[in-house]
Amino acid sequence: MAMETQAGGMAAVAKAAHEVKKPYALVFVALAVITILEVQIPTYGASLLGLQKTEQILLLMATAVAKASFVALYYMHLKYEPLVLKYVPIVPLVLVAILVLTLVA
Amino acid sequence: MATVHAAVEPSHAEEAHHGSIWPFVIGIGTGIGFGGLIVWFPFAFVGLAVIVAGLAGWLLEDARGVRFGEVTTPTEPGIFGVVSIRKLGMWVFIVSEILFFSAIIGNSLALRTRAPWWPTPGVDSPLNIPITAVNTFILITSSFTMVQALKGIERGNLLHFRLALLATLLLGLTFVSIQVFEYSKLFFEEHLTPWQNPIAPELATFGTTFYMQTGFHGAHVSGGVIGLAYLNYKAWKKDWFTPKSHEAVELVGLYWHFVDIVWIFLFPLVYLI
Repeated sequence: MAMETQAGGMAAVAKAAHEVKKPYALVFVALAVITILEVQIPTYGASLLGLQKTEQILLLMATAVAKASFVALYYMHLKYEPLVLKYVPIVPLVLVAILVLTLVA
Repeated sequence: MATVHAAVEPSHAEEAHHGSIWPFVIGIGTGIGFGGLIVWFPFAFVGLAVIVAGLAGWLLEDARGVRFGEVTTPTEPGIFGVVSIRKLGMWVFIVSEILFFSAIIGNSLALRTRAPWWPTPGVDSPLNIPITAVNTFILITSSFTMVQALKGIERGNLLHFRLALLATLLLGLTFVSIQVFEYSKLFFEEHLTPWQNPIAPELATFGTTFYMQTGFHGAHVSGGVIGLAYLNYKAWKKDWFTPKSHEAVELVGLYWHFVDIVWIFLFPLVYLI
């Protein structure tokens, strides 16, 4: 992908990005539905599904990662950006993981 | 690029101003402000005053239409040659913000995992889940209207662009207003402060982590609201943006969506767990 875009030049990338139909409304519906489900987890997740605290936390983190990915990929257009720009926010996530894990552990 | 230009035509080197002094002033103000928070609290307000002055200077300079070198070459040579230099700059800034919020959230989690006890959401926690869930919806909706604004200007639909941008500003203002309302209720009625927790006096860190996480996020939303207000001013009054030239809309949008992502993590971590 990187080699392609390098060879194709910026114009081709920009053109491709603008021609793709972006599912803005669909992402909004997904974000809204996931949020509604999230709010139920501490109450109905415990009473109906019998979720333990650890399971609730893991589930809520999974939904948060899903929502954040939707926003980053579609609203921040990361899906349509060249590979080298995709790496800019993704690579430091390793540092984030180390930082948070060492603080919490 | 600039060095090559200067070498070829030395006479042009003098006029090659590529930067404004005001971001530097804002940086100094931030430094004073943070120093004040740690060392001597009144200094935090001095920092805030310098930040406001820097911001005002920067916006006024931009509104006058001062240009620091035409951005005719939007890319830098090298591996980032396929990306607009200003978009790359915004992404690098966002990365620094990711690390900033990771440190704050990580520290809050560290304090929490080491606490003997923590309030349960919906049971003994003073935090209001329904009103914050509404606020979460407001922020998500504002992200949607922000991309609609970008779509509008990309397609040359000026009314769509302006209305979506105005909606984003109003939704951002609503989010901040609701948070201020929630803060005032917690602070004055529940007596939950950054240094005191009425439910369990031994657990002051509950208030500390709550105000630190949501406060820094709220400050970022407020910053975004200022950016959006200025963007609206340009979009409505000066007819500044065109389908060919609207990168500022995309870049402010990137920041706004990032602030949304931070809330996507903060809402479950602070309110639902």
